Amino acid sequence: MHSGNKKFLALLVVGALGLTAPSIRAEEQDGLSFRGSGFLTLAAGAVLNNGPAQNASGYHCPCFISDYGEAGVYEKGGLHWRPDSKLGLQGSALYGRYSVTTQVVWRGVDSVFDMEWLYGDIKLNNNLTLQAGRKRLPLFYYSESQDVGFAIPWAHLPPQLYGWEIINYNGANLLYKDQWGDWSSGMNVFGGNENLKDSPYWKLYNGKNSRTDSHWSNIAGAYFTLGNEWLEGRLLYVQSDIQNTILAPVLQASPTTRQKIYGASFNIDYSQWVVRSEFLYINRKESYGGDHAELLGAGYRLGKWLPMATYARYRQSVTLDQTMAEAHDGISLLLRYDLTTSSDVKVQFDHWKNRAQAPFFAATPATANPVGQANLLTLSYDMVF
Amino acid sequence: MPIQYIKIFCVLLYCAGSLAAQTASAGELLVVVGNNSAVGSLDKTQVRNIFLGRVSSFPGGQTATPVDQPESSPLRDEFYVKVANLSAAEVKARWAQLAFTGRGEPPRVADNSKEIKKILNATPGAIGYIKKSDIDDSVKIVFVVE
Repeated sequence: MHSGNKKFLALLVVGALGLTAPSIRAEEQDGLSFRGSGFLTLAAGAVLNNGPAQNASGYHCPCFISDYGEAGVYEKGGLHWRPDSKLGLQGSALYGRYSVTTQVVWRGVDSVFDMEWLYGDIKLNNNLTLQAGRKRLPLFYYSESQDVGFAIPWAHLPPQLYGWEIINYNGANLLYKDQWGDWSSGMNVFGGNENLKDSPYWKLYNGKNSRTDSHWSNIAGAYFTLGNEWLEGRLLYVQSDIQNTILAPVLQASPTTRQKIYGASFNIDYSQWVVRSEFLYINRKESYGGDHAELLGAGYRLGKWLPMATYARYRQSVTLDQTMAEAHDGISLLLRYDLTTSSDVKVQFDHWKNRAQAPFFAATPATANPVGQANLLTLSYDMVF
Repeated sequence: MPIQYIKIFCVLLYCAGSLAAQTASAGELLVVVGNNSAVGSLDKTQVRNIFLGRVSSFPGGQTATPVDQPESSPLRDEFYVKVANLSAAEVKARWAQLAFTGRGEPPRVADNSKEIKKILNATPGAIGYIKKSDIDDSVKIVFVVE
């Protein structure tokens, strides 16, 4: 049997075991308690339309980038399960106000366990928690839970917005939550650094066999949330220094520049209606220019079913030559069914439309057929345990 | 976008509407704390925020420890639909968003109402929900779910 298929079978076994397991395991001894939990996504997708064979980065296209940060790409030809399938295991040790938590995630895209989270946690009081260690960078509303398929409405997050090279950081953060009248409020203030070796994201641009190291330093940011029974808003600001070094095929280092990231999201759960919206602007005027991205999704709950349609848009600003800017739109149609209170199945159709003036991911500079002209059908199963 | 995909989606949408599950009513639900608890009455917003992990404490400042009915219990679905307009699965998805990102621990899950009452009297700050017919002297009502 092919090793990839063996791993897929192993994931199925873990999934079956998880179905029969209690949702949270807890053992307590002398005030010290341990908790274990996990999540699983099994996804398979196929690109439905035809096009040229291979783009300049070495991907068979038409192809659909479902996970920029991990270079998860559905390529043309057959059914692919690697881009979105994953297994996460989380363990925590708790002692009074203190705890230590680690989370490892196995992804089909690279078939290895990565330690995504490792942090210590001190509850200063009922409103404030101080954390330090390795965590997810909370750039977007679903950034921190992007691996947990059951926690997000879609089969994969809209890549027009959720498409950046850095997804983790090492540092510290202060969490706040409280109730203000009929509103619940929350804040997260964070800072740190990330040095990512051999960035998967940059392989999408520089080629499958390239090697690029990415550095985000002096990261400082905060987000603020406010919600009531049916509405939740989130505002974010992050700034950092950014520097990339291409090590292969040709050594090339960019200068260190400053970036400023502004984000806003507004979510509605009113009666049976579900609305998700998110807006992003990145000021990178010290390097190429900037980035704008938005998404708007609306669905209607019918018992255990959720049909939902989402539109997402990405536009790049390039100061020197706007004709070279990246631009694409995405439309997705989703049908989600909650199998149990801990598992779901999703069917999602995605259409990715390239809007760039210049050929982006072209097979050759002369053939303007980008990765973006893709239709993808994905079937996924998510669970938490 | 190809017309056939829109047609397929519409057919799936129609099937979803036809098969939509109905939420069963399981009688009057009461939110309760232990008889010795200092917690007075709560409003719907306070109960919702405690059970969705949006706050960690009661209005008086005491740490709140919410206790859920088991996943198989229809009381659980009824409670969250009436208090938060969310199904038990949606609530679990929101807790997954918090629990796997270091922003909270989901409520402790009891086997049944009898165990909930036992936990309420053994754990300071514990709060749960049970049917009116399961009320006895060991618990104090802080909110009536309507």
